[in-house]
Amino acid sequence: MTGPDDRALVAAVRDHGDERAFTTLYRRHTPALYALALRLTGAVEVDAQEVVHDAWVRAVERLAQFEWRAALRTWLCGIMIRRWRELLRERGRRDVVPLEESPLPVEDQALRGTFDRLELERAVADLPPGYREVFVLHDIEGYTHDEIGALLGIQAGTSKSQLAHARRALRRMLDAPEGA
Amino acid sequence: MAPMDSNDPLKALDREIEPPALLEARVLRTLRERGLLRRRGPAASWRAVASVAAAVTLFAAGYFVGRGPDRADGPAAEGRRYVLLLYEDATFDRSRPEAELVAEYSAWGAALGREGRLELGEKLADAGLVLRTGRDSVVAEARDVRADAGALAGFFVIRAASDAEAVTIAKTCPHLKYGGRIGLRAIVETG
Repeated sequence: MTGPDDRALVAAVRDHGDERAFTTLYRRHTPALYALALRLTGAVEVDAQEVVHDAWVRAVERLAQFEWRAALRTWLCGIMIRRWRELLRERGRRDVVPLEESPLPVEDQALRGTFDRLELERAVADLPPGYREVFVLHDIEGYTHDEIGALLGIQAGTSKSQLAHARRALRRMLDAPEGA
Repeated sequence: MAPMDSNDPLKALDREIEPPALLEARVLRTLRERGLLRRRGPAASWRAVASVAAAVTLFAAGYFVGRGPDRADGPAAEGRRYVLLLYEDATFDRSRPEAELVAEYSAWGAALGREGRLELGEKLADAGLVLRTGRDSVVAEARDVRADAGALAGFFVIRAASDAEAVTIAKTCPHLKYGGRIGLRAIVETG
């Protein structure tokens, strides 16, 4: 990372409303937020932009409460993920796979094999939202099940179950053998 | 955070995707409206540049080369409209900072604008979407066009009296000297 660190920039935005400092923060972190947003939303760009926009606005509104218990980007991602969940609830989405405990498929393993990158992106985008969220957060973003549970308001076991279902669905879409 | 598997095919996926430039403008506008930010710095100078150029509006991050003038800004040239499609590939010279390229392209567009020959000019973001029919609905798939050979990087819409004049104008576009290609197409006026 070059330029002022996040702490100095956050202080400038929080204490002085410094637009230049905010723009630096925005450009530093938004590409990662946007990539996550596109995957969470199934590559629906208008939704991805909506949640990134709202995440930044809420973050700046709450900067005074940010205590650096996590990295700024982690905090921003959390705000954005919660906003995405809100958006789904506001829309009364019926196609969201309920985030509830369900039997864990046997022999669950991380997706392995050689896949075309775009096909993989397409398959992830085609997952039902409930599966997609957990898969994106765990297998792509590297969150733990405990962290996902805290972000989505579910049990860690539910996260594990959803991940297993998501991986199975992906394997089916990609014609990959179970456990491959 | 959980450790990533070294054989994980998901590692090939982009962890960062450039957002549309207009999103930054929208976030800034909202924060200003709520009194959370005070405008200062580059935004004012971009407007000054646009004013001097009398034809071009530059946006943050250089995603837009510029926008054509209102017809009142210059005498509208007679003739037909043409679009100059600016393509880039791996041979494109990227040694100059993007801001300098944006300024140069903008100045070129501004000069056309003063002659009433520029209708529109825009630089396109590197990240985009490809829409396709999915299983049950149309899905929009994120894509980084920089990975494409001969990617469309921007365009100008100009007005010229003839095909020959359009070619003459296109030859002066700075895009060519950096190794870019220009596709020149007449616009069919349909309505």
